[in-house]
Amino acid sequence: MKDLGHLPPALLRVASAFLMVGLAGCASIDQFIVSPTTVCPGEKVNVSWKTCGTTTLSQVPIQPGQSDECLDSLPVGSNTMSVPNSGTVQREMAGANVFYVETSGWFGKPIHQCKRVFVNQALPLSGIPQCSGPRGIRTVVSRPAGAEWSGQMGVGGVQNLNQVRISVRHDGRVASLAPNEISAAFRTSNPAGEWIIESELQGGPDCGQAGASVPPSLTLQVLPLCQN
Amino acid sequence: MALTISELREAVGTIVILMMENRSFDNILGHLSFNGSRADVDGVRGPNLSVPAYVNSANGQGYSPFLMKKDGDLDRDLPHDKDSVQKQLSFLAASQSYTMTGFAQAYLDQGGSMVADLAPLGFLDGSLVPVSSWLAENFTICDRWFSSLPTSTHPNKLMALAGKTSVDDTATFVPRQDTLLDWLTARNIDWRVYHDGAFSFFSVMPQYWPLIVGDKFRRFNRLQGDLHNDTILPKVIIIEPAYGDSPLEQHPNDNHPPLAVAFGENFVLQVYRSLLSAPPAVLSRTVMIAIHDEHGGYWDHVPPHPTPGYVSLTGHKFDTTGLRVPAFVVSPLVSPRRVVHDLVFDHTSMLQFVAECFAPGGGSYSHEVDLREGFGFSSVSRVLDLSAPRTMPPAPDITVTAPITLRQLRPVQTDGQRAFAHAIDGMLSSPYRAEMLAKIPELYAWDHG
Repeated sequence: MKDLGHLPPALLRVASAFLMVGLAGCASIDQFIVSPTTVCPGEKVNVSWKTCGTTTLSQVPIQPGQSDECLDSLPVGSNTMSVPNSGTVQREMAGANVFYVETSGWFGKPIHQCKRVFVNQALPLSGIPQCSGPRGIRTVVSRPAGAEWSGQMGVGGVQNLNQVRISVRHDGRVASLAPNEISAAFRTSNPAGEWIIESELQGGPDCGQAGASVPPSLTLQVLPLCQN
Repeated sequence: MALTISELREAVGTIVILMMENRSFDNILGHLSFNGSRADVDGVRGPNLSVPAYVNSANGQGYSPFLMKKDGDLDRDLPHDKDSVQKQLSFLAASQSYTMTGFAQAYLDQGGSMVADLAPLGFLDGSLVPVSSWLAENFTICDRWFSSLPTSTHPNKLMALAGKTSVDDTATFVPRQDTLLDWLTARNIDWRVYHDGAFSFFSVMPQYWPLIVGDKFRRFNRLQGDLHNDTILPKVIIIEPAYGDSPLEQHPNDNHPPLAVAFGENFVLQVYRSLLSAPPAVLSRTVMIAIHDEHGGYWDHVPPHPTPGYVSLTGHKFDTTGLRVPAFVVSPLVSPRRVVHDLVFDHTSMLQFVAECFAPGGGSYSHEVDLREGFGFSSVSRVLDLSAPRTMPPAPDITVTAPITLRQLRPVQTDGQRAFAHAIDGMLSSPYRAEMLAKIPELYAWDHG
């Protein structure tokens, strides 16, 4: 570091005051990572953040059926603690939680971000269908390996949430599912990797034509299985 | 019932335009059909929201709309610039149609919070929008009213207030262009603007600064007294909420996310109460149109209306409208609990209506508005369905509980905020500085900030 000893003390005081004002005045969340986001009961997740400004980290349990939308107002009794501008903590998950990081400066409104951890529950896989032929549609959904689902999470069942029959390919296995059907065809497979969901048009114009009866999404509910 | 022009001019004496900000039809009124009580309204259909028509795919995950049961500031504004709106409309090549399922992706692409209930997919429970729900019960709503363009605030406000736009996205600087105010002035038709906050939208257009320091622009707290005392009202009254984008606004109530909606609900109720203070003879000839400028990034399930080949003043092609917005027609001349579904409206429908009612010697508003009419947009006059005015119901005894917010002077980060900041700087260095400071005391905070 450059020696600043030759500078007049008054100038150094002014400079450090400006530096302090600058640091305290900022408010930004530069990084906020929660990983993995889908775990089995009792597993741990890493929560890390990098911010500028006065920062708090809160952990809010989410009851089944309760919304987890990211609002300003935290529920009373939320576990909130002041934290430094960067850090990582590990938390053991007994149930669904939302982690909430908030930072504020001298000016303006505090800013915040939320990240949810699912416990033994997953959001459905979903993709926008493309034409795979005149009468066929398909979507490929890629799951990032390990980043979102913990190593203990395997596939239990899968459910077809579409109003049409679909065929599903994943991890070297294939299954055909009627609407709403639940299948164990992928039980104990690794959720990571590609899921290929295909279907056929029931009637109307060919795929790619105006008015073709293509659903806006093809969606598959993957029911998790915790394997110790 | 379609009124003839002479019947219309007899029936309508004053048009009131109230434009709130950044909410989709489904966000504010989608709840009406959700529980089955208003099957006539094309809102959200429940109870299963995880249906393919509603599921938004983003990064391989499916996200469903959800009923918001809590009113609070969001963690951020929602994306609704021109490019984000295209993403939200989600054109599906396989069916050559807009699927309205790209809201989650647009939100997450801009760093939105990763939770199951993504903010753009929320639609408000009726208990959170009691004033809007009451208006829908007691007056007429239109569930095919689209914001004019699939983009953000400034272009849509200009379409509403001018029938054309010189910007394609919200910009720091709005070029000079004539608006409804000029149209009315040129025809010697009286008008007035009431703004609740420090600034009217017209502040971002320097051409209006000489008028803003005059008596045609008034603070909203004067409206009730003016309506009560004035024997002759202006034919067109524009009412504006306090804008969250204004860096000097301590108490915004425009519904613009991340702001909670309770403040806007209270404001709309105040507007309705003010209207009731007008003498009965005046009130019976008054039509208030209450809309939002655009959807603000919130999900709506109805695809936009096609406007093939429509080109804005900048040369940008907009082949569709924007999304549906909540639209209320509040007047003794409309039936209660009615929804107009078979007619399509956009913001220029108001300008058609103004011209029908007030253009001297008849004639349309402008050829630009005629062009929009050619795409199928009806005049608001088509909503009026009563041949004789009915008694307006008294204002409801509703108290909307707003979340506690401590709002400081806000940083200038978005284009909307920059536009106001730019306007404030301009006003304070203009020849109108002294008059502006006298009329808008909030400017002292900026001047000495």
